[in-house]
Amino acid sequence: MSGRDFFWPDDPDLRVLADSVRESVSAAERGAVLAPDNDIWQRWIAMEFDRVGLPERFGGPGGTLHDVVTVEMTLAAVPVSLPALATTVLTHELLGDLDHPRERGLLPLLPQRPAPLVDGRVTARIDGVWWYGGTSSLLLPVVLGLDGGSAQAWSLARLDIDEKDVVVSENLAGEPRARLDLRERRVTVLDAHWALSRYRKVQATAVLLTAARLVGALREVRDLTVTYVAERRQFDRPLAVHPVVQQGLAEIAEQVSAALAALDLAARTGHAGQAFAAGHRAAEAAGVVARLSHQLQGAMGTSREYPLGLYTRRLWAWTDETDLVERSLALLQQEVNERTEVRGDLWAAVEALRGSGRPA
Amino acid sequence: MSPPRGNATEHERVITPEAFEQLRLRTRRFIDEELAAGHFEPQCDSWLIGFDREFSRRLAAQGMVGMTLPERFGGAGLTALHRFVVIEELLAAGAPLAAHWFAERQVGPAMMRYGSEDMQKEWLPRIARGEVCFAIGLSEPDAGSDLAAVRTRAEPVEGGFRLHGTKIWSSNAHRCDAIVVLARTSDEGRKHAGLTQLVVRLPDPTVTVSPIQSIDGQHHFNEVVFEDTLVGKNDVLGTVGAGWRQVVGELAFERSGPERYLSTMPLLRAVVAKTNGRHDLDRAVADLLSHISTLRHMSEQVARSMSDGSAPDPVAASVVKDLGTRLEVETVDLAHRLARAVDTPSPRLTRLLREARVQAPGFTIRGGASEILRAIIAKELVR
Repeated sequence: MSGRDFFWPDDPDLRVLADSVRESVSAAERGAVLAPDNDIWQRWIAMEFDRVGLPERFGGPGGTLHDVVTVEMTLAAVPVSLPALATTVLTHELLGDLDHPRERGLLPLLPQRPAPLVDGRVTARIDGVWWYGGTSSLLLPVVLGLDGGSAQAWSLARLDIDEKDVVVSENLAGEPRARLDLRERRVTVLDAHWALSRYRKVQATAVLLTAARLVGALREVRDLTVTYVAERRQFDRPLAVHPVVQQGLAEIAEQVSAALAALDLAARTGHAGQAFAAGHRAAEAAGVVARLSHQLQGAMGTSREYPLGLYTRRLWAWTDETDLVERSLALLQQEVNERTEVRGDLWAAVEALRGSGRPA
Repeated sequence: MSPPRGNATEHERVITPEAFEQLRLRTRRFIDEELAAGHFEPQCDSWLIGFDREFSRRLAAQGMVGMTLPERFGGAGLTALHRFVVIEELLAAGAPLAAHWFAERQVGPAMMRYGSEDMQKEWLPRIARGEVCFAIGLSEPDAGSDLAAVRTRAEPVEGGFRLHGTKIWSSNAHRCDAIVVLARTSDEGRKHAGLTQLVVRLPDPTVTVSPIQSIDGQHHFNEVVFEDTLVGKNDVLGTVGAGWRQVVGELAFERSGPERYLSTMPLLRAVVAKTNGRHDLDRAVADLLSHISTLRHMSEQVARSMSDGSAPDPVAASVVKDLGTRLEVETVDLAHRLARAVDTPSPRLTRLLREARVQAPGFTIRGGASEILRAIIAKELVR
């Protein structure tokens, strides 16, 4: 293959970006979870890596979707944990065109359903919230009224953090996660003109970023496996020479290629449906690749000391905590069902995922 | 020199999304007209079993056969990406492509790459007109996945070669105008050396073509026996002794195309049309959509890499074929399940379901068995 990543753009700018990101965290201790007061995080902020993709008019350095995805992929393949870009990107997506500062310290919340807003107050329980510290305020989609009917008015609310609402834990990959239990918390409504379609777009971006992180970890797992089977000898031969090992290795490479390709198409088109397809394909690949990579690396792969487990735990954690296979498929189908011109026409639906379609 | 042919508009010649969209729409219009005229019924695996010389000629008249061949040979002088757009629409519609398929997909490009000027002048305009059918003579009774084990021999004689041996699984050889044969011309060196590609014109009294019926009783595969068949030196394709290298290049062309994930698309389209409104089946349809969309992008990326005339990356092509054909096989089960869930299948849907069932075992074998493809991929990874 022209490199192992034939299905990802061979772009020198993306390579430089990835190298810079990798270099910026190279001094961190393996397994470290970086907090905002950490020097490395501070350097990140100074280099604006945490704001890649944010347009200049909102105070960011700008950048393409491929840039954003590259930062996420790269960080998923280094042995430290920090919230990368997702916080900024999703904050920006939630705020849309709203003239509101994209300040650091704002944390976007994306519950599966928006919280009901009654008398200016919100009650909601949200699990799996990224909790690296440094958060001062929350952004939360809300709906006016409790009826759940189609006449709901969507809004975006901002509220300050109250530590007593937060229970912090960690996920399988050792990353900080929180449960927020908001009870009749008074909020500030920022935008009274929201709609389901816009929330779907935010959800699509969130799924795309998760897919990017998964693909980053998938590539690392693939490369670790390739190195292991090339070096480890059994029955007087390298493992990689055994046909049965080759079959597993190829399957890993194929799954990673497919996940990369789906991600590339989503980044090229910016189409919500394709972002969900990328999430689905990455999550599916994660399951297969985690299983096969452990099988091929034998007992060694199960030890804490060996690097594989760090990345396979990420694969499992990131797919399980968002139920990514099922959620991506459900969102993809909702996206298709809402487009009457492609409903029931598989080929037109495939075409529509590239952002174009057959004219009526 | 032929004038610029076909109906590729100047707009379509440009490599922009809009240009490809124009070409796609024009292909769809042609397909719609053909369907409306009752010229074909959508078929699964239509690039292998849908044989209709008249359809091939009409398609060629649209400038949609031999699109990547240069204009001086009657082609459209377009890129692999242009061809990709047209081919995937035709495959998704289940149009009968077999009469020109091998000529267009691999023989034409191989002749462009390796053939003599005389060979190009003789065959390429006919390929571009959709009037010539080529069969492929690679596999033998004792050489399938181990292709370098071919025993068919071509002995040098005055003015050319005399050919002896047997080829099998040659699709449509019984109704083709020629067959490209891989034969051993020398025993020296490694077994991959000493192989040569020869064009044998058909019919020929020294060539016996016998049917090999498929499991459903259809006849498109053949055994082809050569007994002292004279092949003129002008019919040597490429360099004597370089057959292996040439064929490996051809195989890459063969492996990455949309035919590796769209063979069952006519069936899937028919079934999914019936699931409309059945939300209990949404998940299955979304899963299908996600996989097909991804494979399509992968195949397109390989075609894009060929747009400057380069050969496809053999490993990327192997990845597309293995993933694509496995998906094709899995979708046959899915289609049956969905069909049962929605309704009693119509006679047309029943035909498509059966076609897909009996063709499916071949998906992961032809053009390189999955196990061989995975070995190619793995070897490259640890190289």
